[in-house]
Amino acid sequence: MSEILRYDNVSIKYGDSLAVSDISFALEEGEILGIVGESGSGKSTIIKAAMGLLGEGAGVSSGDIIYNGKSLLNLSNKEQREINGPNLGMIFQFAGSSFCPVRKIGSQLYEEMKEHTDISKEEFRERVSELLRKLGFDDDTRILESYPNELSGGMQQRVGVVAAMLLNPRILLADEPTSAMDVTIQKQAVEEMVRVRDTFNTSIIIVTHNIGVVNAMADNVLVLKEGKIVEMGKTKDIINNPKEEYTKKLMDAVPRLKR
Amino acid sequence: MDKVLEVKKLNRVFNKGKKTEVYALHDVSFDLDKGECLGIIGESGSGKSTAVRIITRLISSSSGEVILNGQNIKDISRKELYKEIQMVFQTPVESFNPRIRIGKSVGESLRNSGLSKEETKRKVETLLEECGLSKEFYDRFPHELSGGQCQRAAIARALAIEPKILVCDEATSSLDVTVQKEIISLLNSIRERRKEDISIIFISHDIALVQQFCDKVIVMNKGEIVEMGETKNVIVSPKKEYTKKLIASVL
Amino acid sequence: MKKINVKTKLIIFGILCILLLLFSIFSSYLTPYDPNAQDLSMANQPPSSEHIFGTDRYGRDMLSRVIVGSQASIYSTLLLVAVITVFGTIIGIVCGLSGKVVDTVLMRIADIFLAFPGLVFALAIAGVLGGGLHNAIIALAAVSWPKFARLARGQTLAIKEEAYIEASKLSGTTVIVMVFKHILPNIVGTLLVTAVLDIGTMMMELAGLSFLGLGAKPPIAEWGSMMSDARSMLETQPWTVLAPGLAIFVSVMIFNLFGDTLRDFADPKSRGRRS
Repeated sequence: MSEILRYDNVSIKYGDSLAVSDISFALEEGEILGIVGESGSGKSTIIKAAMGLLGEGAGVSSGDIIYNGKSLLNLSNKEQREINGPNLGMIFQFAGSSFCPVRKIGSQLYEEMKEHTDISKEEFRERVSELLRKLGFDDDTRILESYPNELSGGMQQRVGVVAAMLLNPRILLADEPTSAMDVTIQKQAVEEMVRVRDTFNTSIIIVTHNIGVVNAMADNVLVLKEGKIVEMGKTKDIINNPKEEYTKKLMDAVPRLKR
Repeated sequence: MDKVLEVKKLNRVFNKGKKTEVYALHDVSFDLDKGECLGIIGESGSGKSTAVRIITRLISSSSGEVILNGQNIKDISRKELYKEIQMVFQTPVESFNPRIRIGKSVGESLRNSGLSKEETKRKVETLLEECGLSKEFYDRFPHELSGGQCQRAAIARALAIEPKILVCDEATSSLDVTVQKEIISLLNSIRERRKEDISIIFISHDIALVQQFCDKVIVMNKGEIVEMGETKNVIVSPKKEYTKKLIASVL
Repeated sequence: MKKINVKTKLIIFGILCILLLLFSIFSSYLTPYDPNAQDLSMANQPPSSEHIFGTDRYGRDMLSRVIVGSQASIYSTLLLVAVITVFGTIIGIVCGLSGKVVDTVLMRIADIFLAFPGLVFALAIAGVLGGGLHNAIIALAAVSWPKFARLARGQTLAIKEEAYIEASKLSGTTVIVMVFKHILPNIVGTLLVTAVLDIGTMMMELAGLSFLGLGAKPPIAEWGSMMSDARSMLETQPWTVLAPGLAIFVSVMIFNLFGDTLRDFADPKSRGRRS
C-alpha cells in the first residue's frame, strides 16, 4: 500500500480563532479512515480544507496538505476544479438535496461527467450502467430516468455515492453521510461505501459523530477534540481499548446494543 | 400496577375515503403504568411523534380515546391536562423563546397556575439546581446556553408543575453522546427520586439508548404498532420480521 | 476605504429622522414669515435673499410654507403608516392563529383590496368620501393594510410552528398572553422595518392624492397640494413647484435610507452574530 494523502501539521483558522490545530495524519490507498468527534471539534473542517471548501475568512494558517506528492493549498480555482471530482470525490450529509429537484438523475450525472471529460451520451450511459451494476443496483434505467424525489432517502444517498464515484476518484471524502438517516438506510449507505472501496480500491475519509458507523467500516480512527487529535489508531484498538481519558469517556457514553 | 394512561385505538387519517387515504396512525393502543418508562422506537414517519402529540393534544386524532387517570383527555381542559402531562422537545435551544430569560420560561406554567412571582422564582431556582444548573442560569438567555444546558432547563420546565407523565420526543437526538449520557443520568435520577409519581414516554430512533433506559418498548412502523413488550424481550428476541430487520441494522 | 458599519449608519440616519421630526414639530416657530400672509404686491417673486424659495401667486413666502407644510405632510404620513401597521398586524395575527374559515374569509377580503391598482382604488375611495387630509388617509389606509396583514400572517404561521410556542402551550399559557409574550415580540422587528420602509412610499402617495386635489384643502400648507396649486406655473415660476418637491424628495430619502439601514441592522447576516 502506498500513501495517497498526507496532512502535515495542519492548522486551520476561522477569522482569528483556531478551529483545527497541528493535525498530522496519512491516508493510504484503499484505506478507510474515520474521523470522530463531538460538535465543534473541527472534524468537518479538516476534510473541507482538502476540497478547498473552507469558505470566506477561513483558511489553512500553517502546515500542508499533500495529495499524491502535490500540495493542495493555494490552488487556483481551475486547479482545484481539476482536483475535485476525478481525484477527490465528496459525499454530503443530504445527498438528496445536492441534486436539482426538477431534472432527471441521469442528465445531472451526465452533466457532472461532461464537466471533466469529453464523453458522448452513449459512452456515459455504458459507464454509468456498469458502475451501477457493480454497486449492486439492478435497475439502472429506472434510476437514471427518475427525478430525485421519486427515490427513497436510502436510494438517494446511494445515488449520491454513485455521483461521487462517477469520475472514479482516488479518495472519497464523506461529511456526516449517514447522520440524517434511519438505521436501516444508514446500514445500506455504509455497505455501499465499503463496496466502493472493495471494488475500486478507493480511499475513504468518513467524518461522523456516530461511533457505530466508524466501527462498521473504518480501518483506522482519529479522535478529535477541540481541534486537536486526542488519539489515533486501529479502529478495534480505539473502540475497545482506548488509551486517553477523553476517548474512554466518549466510548463509554455511546449506548451499545446488547443483543 | 396502576395505569396512569390508556391509549385506545388511536387513528389519524388524511383524505379519508379518497384514493389517497393515508393513515399517519392506525389503531394504536397501549397502556402506561405508574412509574414506568416506555420507549417508542421506529424510523422517521413511523408515527411515533404523531402518537404523543395526540396524547398531549398538540394535534387531534381522527378517532380513538386517550384516558388519563380514568378520564378522557377530551373531557378535561388543556390547563388540567398539562398539569398531568408535560413534554421535552427534540430541539433544546429552539424550545425556548429567544427573547425571554430561561428562568421566566421555566416558571411560565407556575405563573399561569397562579403562583406569586417570588414563589415562582424560588421554585424555579430549586428546579434548575435539581436539573444540574446553577441559580445563575435563571437570568440567562437561551442562546447563551449550550444544547445540553438548554435541555436541562427544558426538563426543569417540564417538571415545574409536577406532572405525572413526562414525554421526551427525541430529547437527546441532537446532542453529543457525552451530553446525551448526562441527560439520561439526569432523567434516571429524577425517576429514582419521584418513583411512582413520574412515568416517562421516551421516543427515540436510537435503539441501544432505549434498551438502556426503558422498561417497556413499542416498535412502530408506518403508523402501526409492530411489536410491544418488555424491552429485554423485544430487543433481544424480537418476534416480528420488521423488528428483526430494524435491530439487525444497528451498527 | 473601509465600509461604514451598519450601526454607525443607523445612528446617522436615525438622528436625521429625529431632526426631521423635531423640525416638523417646531416648524411653526421656525418660519421667517407668516406662511398664510398674503401680499399681492410681492406675488411670484423669484428666489432672493429675502425669500430664499421665492413667493407664490398670492405673495406668500414659499420657504415658510414649505417649513409649515412639513407638519401636515409628515404627520399625516406617520399617522397613515401607524394605522395600517397596527390594523394589518392585528388582522394578520388573527388570521395566523385562527382556523381555516376566519383565515380564508379575511385573506380573501385582503385579496379584493390587492386586486385593484392601489392608487387608483384609493382615488376612488377618496372621491367618494370627498377631499380633505383625513379622508385621504382613510383611503390610503384602506388599500395599504393587506400588505401588513399578509406579512404578519406569514410570520405568525411560521412562529406558530416553533417548539417554544408548543412548550408554552404546554405551560398552560392562554392565547392572548401567547400573542403578547411570544408572538408579537418575535415579529415586531420585521413589521417595524417594513413600516419604516413604507413611510417614503406613503408620503409620495399622500402627496399624490393631494396633488390630484383629493388631499389637504387650501389654505393648509401641504407639500402635495402646494405642488398641485403651482403646477400651472411650472414654466414661468418653477420655484413654486420645485420647493415643495425638494422637501418631499429630501424627507422621502431620509426615511428610506433609515428604513434600509434598519433592515440591514435587523438582518443578522449583515451584522455578524453577536453571541
